[in-house]
Amino acid sequence: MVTATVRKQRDLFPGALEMMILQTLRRGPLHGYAIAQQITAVSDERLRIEEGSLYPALQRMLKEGWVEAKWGVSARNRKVRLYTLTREGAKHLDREVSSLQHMLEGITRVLALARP
Amino acid sequence: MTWIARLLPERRDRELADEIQAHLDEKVEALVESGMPRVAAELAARRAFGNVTLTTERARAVWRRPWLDVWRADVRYSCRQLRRHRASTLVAVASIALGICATTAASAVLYGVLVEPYPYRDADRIIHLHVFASGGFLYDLPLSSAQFDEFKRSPGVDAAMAMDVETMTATAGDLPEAVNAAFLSLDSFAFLGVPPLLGRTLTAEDARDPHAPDRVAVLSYRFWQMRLGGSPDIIGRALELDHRSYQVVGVMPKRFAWWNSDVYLPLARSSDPDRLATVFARLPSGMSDRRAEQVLQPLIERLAVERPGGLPSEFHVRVLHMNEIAAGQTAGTLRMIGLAAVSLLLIACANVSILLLARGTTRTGELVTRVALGASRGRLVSQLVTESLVVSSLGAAAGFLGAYEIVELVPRFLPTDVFPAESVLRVSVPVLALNIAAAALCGMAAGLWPALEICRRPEIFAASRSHGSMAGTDGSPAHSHRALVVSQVALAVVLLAGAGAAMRTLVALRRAALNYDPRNLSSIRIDLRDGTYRDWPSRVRFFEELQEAVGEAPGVGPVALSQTDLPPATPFHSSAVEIPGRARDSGAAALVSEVSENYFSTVGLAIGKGRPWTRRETERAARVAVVNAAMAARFWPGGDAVGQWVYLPDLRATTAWALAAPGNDGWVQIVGVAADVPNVGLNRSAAPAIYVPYTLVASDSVRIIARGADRPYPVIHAVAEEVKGIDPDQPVGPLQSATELVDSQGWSRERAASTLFGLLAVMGLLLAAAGLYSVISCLVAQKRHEFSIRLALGAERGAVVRMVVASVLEPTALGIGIGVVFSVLGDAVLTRWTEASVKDPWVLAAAALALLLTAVVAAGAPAYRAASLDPMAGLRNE
Repeated sequence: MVTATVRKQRDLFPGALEMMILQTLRRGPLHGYAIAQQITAVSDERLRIEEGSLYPALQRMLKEGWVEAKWGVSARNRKVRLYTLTREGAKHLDREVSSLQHMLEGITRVLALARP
Repeated sequence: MTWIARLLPERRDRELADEIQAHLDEKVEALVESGMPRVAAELAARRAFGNVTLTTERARAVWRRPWLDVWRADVRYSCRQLRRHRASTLVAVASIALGICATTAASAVLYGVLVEPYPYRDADRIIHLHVFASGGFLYDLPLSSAQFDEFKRSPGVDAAMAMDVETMTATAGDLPEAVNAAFLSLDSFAFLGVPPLLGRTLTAEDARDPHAPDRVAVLSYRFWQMRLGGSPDIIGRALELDHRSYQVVGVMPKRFAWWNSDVYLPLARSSDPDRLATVFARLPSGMSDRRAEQVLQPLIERLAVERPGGLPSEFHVRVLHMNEIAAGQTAGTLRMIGLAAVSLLLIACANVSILLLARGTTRTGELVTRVALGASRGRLVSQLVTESLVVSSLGAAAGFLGAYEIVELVPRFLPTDVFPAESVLRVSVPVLALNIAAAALCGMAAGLWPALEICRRPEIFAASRSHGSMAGTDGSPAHSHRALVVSQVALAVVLLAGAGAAMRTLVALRRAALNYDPRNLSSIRIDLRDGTYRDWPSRVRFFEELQEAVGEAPGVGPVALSQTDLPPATPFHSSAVEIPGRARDSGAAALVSEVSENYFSTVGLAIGKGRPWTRRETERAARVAVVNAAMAARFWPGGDAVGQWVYLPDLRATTAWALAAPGNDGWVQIVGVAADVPNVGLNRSAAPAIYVPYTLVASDSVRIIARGADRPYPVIHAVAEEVKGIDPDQPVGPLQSATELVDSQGWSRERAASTLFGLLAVMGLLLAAAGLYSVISCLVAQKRHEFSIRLALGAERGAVVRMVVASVLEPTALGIGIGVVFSVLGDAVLTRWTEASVKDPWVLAAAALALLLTAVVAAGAPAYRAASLDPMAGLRNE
């Protein structure tokens, strides 16, 4: 099986996908497929995300008011839904990122200490 | 409107689907552009996307409120269940409808009469000032203008108003018509705080000269409608009263019926210390009644000194709230009816529980299946509770509709004097809210108990038995059924006992000895116009002439005069009684009736000892008196009342409307002893009473008492004619027939109470019968198998019937026992509210018998069904 040679992938922690989507939207409005493309490209395919899983996440963020959606046209001239980051979404992202960095820092320190 | 569209799930779902499709299309196109064949590209796009259906579902689920969907499903399922069991659903819904209808109607009446009887501002703090004499009688406390000013400044009151009522004559028409006028101090409308319907109310501007205010009038709605045809351009028109023209400045709304007056006029300030006005005050917010009484006591004591004879020598101030006065003695009866309605609702509630339980036993199969499919205990409970909530909502909706209709009818059931004219009986928002809460609570309680009970059954979660019809032969469901039946029976007994007590009170009243003959006897009130017959001789002459003239009219029998209503009404006045040579008995007091000498023969009141006084003695206001037997027995138990002198300090009181006779010093000599007539209610023994010549204190309000030859009605004609002959401007008040008075004052309240109570009790009995019937039916259905075996083994059919009936008699008997105990315990509460007693053994026995009979009747049909089972059919079912 091919999977045996591929490096084993971990599941994302809760909230990680949302963070990445929000960060991606920081640069400007995008539609779902474009968001997926961006994340795959930027992560250099280290994260393999099922493209479909974007949509429940987007709906969740719509409900929370972190993003807004309106119908627009894609680069290929197709009618698509464009997502925009809201102020609240930006604030949420900042909070999440700083708390994640804080946590990673802690984990890194412990790991560094434990190394013989 | 886009935001509404956004709320709709259909639109959201469609957008999501479009979006996902667009995503896939983009991907396919991108892959095709990079050189992949279209078919492969489509597959790759789908692979990268994952499961489309699952994703869509998960995305949709974000918006979903799961409890709402579950609840919707539960309601749908409940409705299906209820439709399937039409008969039992109908019984449950009808039970709740009856219960909620009763509580809604009762709470509408309680709210309208006890909580918010008046439209006036802060009516709960408005008091009518009274003093409580040591003899136990209440005295109204009117004040003069100067005293009122002083009173208003007291820290014990927030604001106050003064009122004087008078009968005036509308003189513009052909016949003089009596108009009830209320003269109000100019701050009264601000005090009452009700805005006018048309025009304006009275203000300080109307009395630039306080001793002679402007002639302006505010009309009551009723007067405006009935006498003036509700004409909208009434403002500014003139109204002629006592030959003086008043300008109409305003009309009050319908609910403003202060003192049932027709017109409201400005009260003139008077320097006459004898010209008194009734006082109403509003207590400062937060001040307790006791505190207010303490604050007012020294003030009133000081004012009493200014007017000797006006108040008893010893008294304490007592604040009487308008709201208390509104309901009066009816408050207790109304509360009892409210309690009865709640009991009825509880019985109805038990019926719903019983029906759910009964259905639960035949429903085990379904529940087991649901559990097997993964339903949790909580889901089962919520499903069953939803069912009972659906039943109670349907029932409550029907009940509310019924209550809307019934509340309209209630005033017709009850005597008119029960409610103040201002009270409005309707299903108002607070009443509706309360009863919606009650219905919801009922639905929860009625559903929760059987739900927990059913879910506790081992067979449902053990899933060891797969077939429902066999289940339930163990004791548990029968046990909870039993508890429900017992409580229903107990409540029905309490209801019946209450109804029985009310009826016994009524019967006792009807049998009460009147000791006089009310047939064809009537009284007509003559209120002298203010300022007429102001001196004692002319006033007495007018009344004596009038009496003589009426007596000679055709169709009129004996005639007399009285300054108080006919019995059994309580006389207006009471007085302390002092007897020479005896220590002052602080409790000694008597009701005083001021009458003419022929009162006793006209009314048919026997003089047992001594004699009535003579015509001569009336004319010269001799200091004589007749006492009733109760007074003679109380003060002269030796039987030597006749010939004694007594001192009545309150008889000397002079006011602007009561003229004391020359020589009236408060002393009277007893010349006779009359039989007792009821004077404090038909069901109580008469209070001490004393009759004195009306001329001793000639009031401006006298009743002509006459007995018609065969009907009371010719009397009114005769009186109207004679009055017109003597004084064409003098109006004649309404006729009051003695039989109607006995009815309204004597027992109409009790009749209404027993009718309503009886109705509630019968409904309670019917509901309990329905409950018993369904319990027994359920029992018979469960024990079908057992009965079949018994019959197959040769049991007599009679024995089976006996078994069924016995199974219901036992819980019924227990319920009766508990009900009787509750009735006896509750008697203490009831006697505080009414005079009825539910401890009466006969009433309790009758209630018990009624329930036993009901139980046997309810058991009849199911017992017959059990006995006529075909044993083979029952066994073959196995």
